[in-house]
Amino acid sequence: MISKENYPDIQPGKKPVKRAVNKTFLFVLGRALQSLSKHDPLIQHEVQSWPENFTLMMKVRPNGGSVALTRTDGGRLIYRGASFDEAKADVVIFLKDVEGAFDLLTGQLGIDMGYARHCMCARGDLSNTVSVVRVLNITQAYLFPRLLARRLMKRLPPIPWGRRWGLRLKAYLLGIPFGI
Amino acid sequence: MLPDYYEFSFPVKIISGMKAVNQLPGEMMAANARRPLIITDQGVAKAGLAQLVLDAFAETDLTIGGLYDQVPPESSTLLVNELAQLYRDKKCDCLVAVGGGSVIDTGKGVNILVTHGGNDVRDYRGAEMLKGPLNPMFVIPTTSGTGSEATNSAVIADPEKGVKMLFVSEFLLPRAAILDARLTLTLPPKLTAATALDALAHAMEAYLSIQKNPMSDAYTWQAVKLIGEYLPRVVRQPDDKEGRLALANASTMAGTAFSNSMVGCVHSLGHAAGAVGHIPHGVAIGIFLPIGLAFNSQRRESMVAELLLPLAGPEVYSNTPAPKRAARTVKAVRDLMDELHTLTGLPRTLSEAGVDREKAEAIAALAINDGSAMMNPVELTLDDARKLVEQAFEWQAA
Repeated sequence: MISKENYPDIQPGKKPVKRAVNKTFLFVLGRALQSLSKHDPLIQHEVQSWPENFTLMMKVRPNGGSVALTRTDGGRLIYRGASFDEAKADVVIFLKDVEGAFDLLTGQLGIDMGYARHCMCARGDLSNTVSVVRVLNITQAYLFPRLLARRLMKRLPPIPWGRRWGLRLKAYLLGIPFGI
Repeated sequence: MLPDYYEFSFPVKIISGMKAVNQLPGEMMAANARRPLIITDQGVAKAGLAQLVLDAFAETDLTIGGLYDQVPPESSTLLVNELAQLYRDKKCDCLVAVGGGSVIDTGKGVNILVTHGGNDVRDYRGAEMLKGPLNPMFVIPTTSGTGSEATNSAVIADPEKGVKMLFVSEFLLPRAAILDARLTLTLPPKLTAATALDALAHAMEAYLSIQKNPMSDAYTWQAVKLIGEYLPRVVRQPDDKEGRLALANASTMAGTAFSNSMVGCVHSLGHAAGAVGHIPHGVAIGIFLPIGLAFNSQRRESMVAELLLPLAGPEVYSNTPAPKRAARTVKAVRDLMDELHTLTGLPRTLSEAGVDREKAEAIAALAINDGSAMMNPVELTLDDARKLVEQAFEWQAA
């Protein structure tokens, strides 16, 4: 006879390394976006089309880390940290699971393909989605080597060599570690 | 080409036939529903199509909770909220949407509220955010174009904010779609042509999309074949019931394809031209279809070439050298548009549709921010969009 005593509950396992990597990359992404939005004309052009005080949040479900950014009056992005109140964000992009988030955040999967593969879902008004994706692609073009970035997007954004290296160094040396 | 990963969802029962609407009450009872709210629009009601649906309930013990026939051409969140209240007040337990895209999307919005609660459908906007199945909904399309009876999305305008809200979820798919030849018989030839070109674009763009997969490809194939074969015939003979049913099936299959493999730049440009130039959706999509196919050939040449077989048939396909098949597919679409233009006066260019050239820049700017652009195989930049819009003003002879 089948007895429930022989079938205990099974709790899901943990993937602490991937969770930690995801949280780190979300932090890097947030700080990089804040830094780049001060100087990169392509990002500035996109962000200016977003509503004022628009807050975008990305969150790995269920508790795998998050990042929030708010568009300020001047058309720049401000990093709002990793514990922003989800209910106050205008658009929340949920990365459905730790593995998909890992692939997306570490540059193994492009944003377009991530969406095509249903790695993410979203709450809120999606009318800015394409612009948000362009901003994420531009950011990846700064953060990742050209060879890797080329695999992640259909076409690399037109960033001149000098600006790419200048803003990349600034983001890595000042923007990401110090929020400058 | 088998993708590393894909998802495909299509749980809709298809009921297709010359008098398929008569199956509606039986389908309702099978779903344990007995009190439908029927929604439709004035055009459908005046054409007597709503009456056809009511007649199907004769000699049953079901009670129709209400018939609302005032859905406007563009669905609105305010109407959705009001209809949800009507559904509750009349203690209905299922929905029947009889009409085109606006009616069906309104029905989807109402179904979200009456199932998951609340008074404002805007609270549920977003992608893949609905938690659990909705109440039974039955869709009876009266056009053969939107394919909304087979899609997992709804676009509902928010008149307060002046924007269109997007709702995406597999739970928006209805329980059944009823394709009845009688329901599209009264559609004028020009409208038949425009809506069928929209369906053709759904199918072809799904085949080229970065979301393409073997399942959506199968639906594309048959949809393109049916449209290529039956569209000119139906436009010539609008009372051709077999042809009407074939186009209805094609539209639903094209909807299934693009619900699982999103459309691309043809729809981005078409949506923008429709919004800026105030031209009907199907007309705008038809204008950009050959242009978009040619544009995407830079990345998807072999796939555009493959579409020649279902569209033009085996003889044309085999008589065309392999390197020329992609261009021949584009030509086949242009030939079809030429024929439809001659038969119905359907515009082939933005100029023929009455769009002012001064609006070209606004169309291009809007197109690159349309959600469909994301799934296009080629990045649609502003410069690209400008060139494509420019091409859309001049007819390039096939």
